[in-house]
Amino acid sequence: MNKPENARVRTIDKVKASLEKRYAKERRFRRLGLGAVLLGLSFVLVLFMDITSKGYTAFVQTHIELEVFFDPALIDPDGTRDMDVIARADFRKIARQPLREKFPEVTGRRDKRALDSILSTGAPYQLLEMVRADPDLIGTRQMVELIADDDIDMLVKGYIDRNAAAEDRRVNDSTIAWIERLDSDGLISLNFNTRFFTNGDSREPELAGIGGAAAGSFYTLLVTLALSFPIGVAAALYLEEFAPKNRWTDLIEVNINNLAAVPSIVFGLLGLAMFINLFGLPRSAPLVGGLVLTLMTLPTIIIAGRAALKSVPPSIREAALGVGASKMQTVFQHVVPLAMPGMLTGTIIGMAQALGETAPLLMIGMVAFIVDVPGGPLDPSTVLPVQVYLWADSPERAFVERTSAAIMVLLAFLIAMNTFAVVMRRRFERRW
Amino acid sequence: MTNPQTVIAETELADQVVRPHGGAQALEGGFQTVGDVRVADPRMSCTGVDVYYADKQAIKDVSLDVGKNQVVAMIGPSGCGKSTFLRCLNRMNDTIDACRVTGEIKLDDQDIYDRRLDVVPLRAQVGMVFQKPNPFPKSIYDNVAYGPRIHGLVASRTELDEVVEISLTKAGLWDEVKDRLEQPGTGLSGGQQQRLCIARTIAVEPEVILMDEPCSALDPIATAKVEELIDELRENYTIAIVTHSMQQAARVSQRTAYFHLGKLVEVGETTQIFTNPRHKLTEDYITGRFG
Amino acid sequence: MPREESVSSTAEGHILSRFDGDLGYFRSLVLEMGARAQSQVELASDALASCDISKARKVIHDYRAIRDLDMEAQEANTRLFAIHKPVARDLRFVLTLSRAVYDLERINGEAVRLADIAQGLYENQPTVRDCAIFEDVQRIAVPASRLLERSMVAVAREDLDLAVGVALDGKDLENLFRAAVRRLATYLIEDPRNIGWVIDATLGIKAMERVGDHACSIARNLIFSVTGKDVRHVHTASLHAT
Repeated sequence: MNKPENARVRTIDKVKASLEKRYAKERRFRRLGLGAVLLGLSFVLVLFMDITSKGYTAFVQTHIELEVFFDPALIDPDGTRDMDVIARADFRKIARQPLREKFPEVTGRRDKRALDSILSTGAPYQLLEMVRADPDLIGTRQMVELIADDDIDMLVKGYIDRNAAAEDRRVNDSTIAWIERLDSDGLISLNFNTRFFTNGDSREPELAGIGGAAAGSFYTLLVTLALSFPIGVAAALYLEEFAPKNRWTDLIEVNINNLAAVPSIVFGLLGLAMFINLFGLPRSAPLVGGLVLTLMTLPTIIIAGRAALKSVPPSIREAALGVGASKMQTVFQHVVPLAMPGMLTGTIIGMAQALGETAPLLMIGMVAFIVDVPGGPLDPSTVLPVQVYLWADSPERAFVERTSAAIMVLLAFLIAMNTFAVVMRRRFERRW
Repeated sequence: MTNPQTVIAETELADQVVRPHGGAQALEGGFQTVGDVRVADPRMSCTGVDVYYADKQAIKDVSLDVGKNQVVAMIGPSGCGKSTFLRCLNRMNDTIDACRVTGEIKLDDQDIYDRRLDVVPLRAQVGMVFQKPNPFPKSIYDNVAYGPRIHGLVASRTELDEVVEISLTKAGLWDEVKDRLEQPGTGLSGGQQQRLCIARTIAVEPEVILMDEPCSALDPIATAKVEELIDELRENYTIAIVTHSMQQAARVSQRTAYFHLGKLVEVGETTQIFTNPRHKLTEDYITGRFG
Repeated sequence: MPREESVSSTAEGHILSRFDGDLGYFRSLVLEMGARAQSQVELASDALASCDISKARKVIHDYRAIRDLDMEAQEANTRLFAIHKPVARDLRFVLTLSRAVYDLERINGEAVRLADIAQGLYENQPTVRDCAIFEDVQRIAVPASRLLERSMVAVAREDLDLAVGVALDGKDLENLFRAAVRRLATYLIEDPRNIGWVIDATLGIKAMERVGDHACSIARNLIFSVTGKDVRHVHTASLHAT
């Protein structure tokens, strides 16, 4: 019995000897993988931290609490309460009053102008809106939190170095002294910046908001979804279930896959040439933006749709056909419901990509400076990523924080959409 | 006190003592199927059927009758074409692009490959049960109700309830599922799923039921239950079953057909095939000398 | 009917080699039983013809061993059915072998009966020496033994023609038997005191006749095995072979 015994022992020894090497290899690989993941995560973390640190201050805005006298003589001299008359009133004077009263020692044109510029140019409109909402305010004295100018805002938030040389600062010493006095009186407050979310774009940073861009993005995505989902799903269904398998369908398949790789700016040029020049659709409108983005997301939806349809096992189809269902019934009553989660996931991912697109929309003009929040898909507007681009270009310091804040909002939406897609996919994962 | 030699009537003894013939005769040229391919009063009748997958011929000149209210079993080694032939009977091969079927297949004197024939009602008349149980991912009730619904066989919900109950009872599943009809069909055990598929098939009141190795994915107890069911179904339906288990073919069928390399070698009464097959290939296959 | 190529034997070719092994084992047991049965028959009739008691005793003694063989064969038979579930040709052959076991066991019994007669005769009546009388027994025993031999060869070779020959020749044995009984009757008429050993002789040739019957039965079963036709009850005259 000696020989077989020896042979067996030798094999085990060989296995054991190689075992160490194998485990070492696996350990190395695992470490590499972990390292790669950590590296990627750290980059993302650095990015997030950078943006957040620059942008979180934009969510609050400096306001100065002052007592405002709604002088009827200035607002409504005839007492008619006529809105047109009220609208034309000189609210600037009314807004200036409280500060002039607070700092009576300020004389001289230059100094007076400096004092006035503590408040934002939008402060008068604040007061106008208040009177519009409640005309009974005329003739009364109210404590109003008026918006401060963006320079003051930067000063209060600490972005302007008070110790730097005067020529290097945007804010001179006297202004700083006034602000410090107001601050010690407790009149300076940082309120939540609702205007950031409701206002459209503005040259004044303190009044600028993403409201217009968000609405523009919303309408654009609406148009994109309304067009790309039905067309994409229908195309995927036709190609996968009904089209004959010949050279033509192969050609189409290759072309669809290629479309997904075309640079997005090309779609913008296409949109410009066809939709705007040829069809004469309004420039800068979410309708056109939506059409262009539809062209871009269609390949994604079609490819995801086809994959979802392919993943439905043929046994379901055979069962349906075997019972006597027609081809249409089999597809729509059995295959599509089972493939729908996959198709929806693809759509959501496509939408998330569309949300972040900038280049093609620049081409069709959604880059103009639009102040009003758009009311519908035909009103000129811009989209969030373009807004970020525009603000990033502006010189005012206050726009830096706003740009970062806008990026944070955009990222939040993208993460939310992608998370939704993942959750949906998990929930509807079927076991055949 | 010799053993009395019972004298049988002359006519009975007219049978010659026959040797089994066939030898190793090749299945080519004008090979004729051994045994009676025709029956009196067939439900389905096939003549000269050829099936091609692109250039490869899978079924060669097969003629076979399927007798009414009978079970005919089709056996043969893997790749011999029995499943392909079965799928011709309800035109399931239409779903495969590269497949071409020629010849005549009749259901009650109607050629089912007639261009004008709508294949959808055909599949309601000739139902199919597959190898791996494939209930729809719907409730048990909806699984059985789907067929009658789409073919418009019932007029009201109560009628549908009746049809579902009758079908599940016929399939021997009613008692086990009557309290959980809304639960998904995929939650049942393998044997129950297969019986659900059978219930689904008979809910549309077919005339013929085709079964493609219905028990190959089931354990022995489930298999026995399904075989018992097939025996009961025979009273009302005509059944053609493809099986790779010869014992199953022997237990379940009245006629057995042996396929070899796309040809129908022999067909005959099941008892005769399993005690005294007439072609050598048949005998070699069922005794296990090749396969 | 023209002779066709002989059917291949059941002995080999099965995918499951254990089946071939088990079947081969059973077959060899049956053939062994057949050989022993034949030698028993020959020995017993020899004992009677040559008045040799020792031969008779040997036959009786060897019966036990053959009974053991019978039990082994039964076990092998049961195993084949239970485990291998044979069909078609294999099934018919196994059925033939199991019926042959029965027939061979009975043949053995007949041989022992003959030996018993011989022993009883020569032990108690040593004076009975009319060997001519017992020639009749030989006259039946020899053809019977040959029939047995031929039927066993037919089983061994699965030879249809041989088996048919045995079945046809069984008729001759019947005629021989009748002739022998007539001759024995004459002895009785000659001298009624002979009745004792005439009865013994009659019983002896009866035993041999039964041996022949069993041999024919084995042959007819073999015909069933090869052709699938049950000819056990078919009239001899209607058995067409080729």
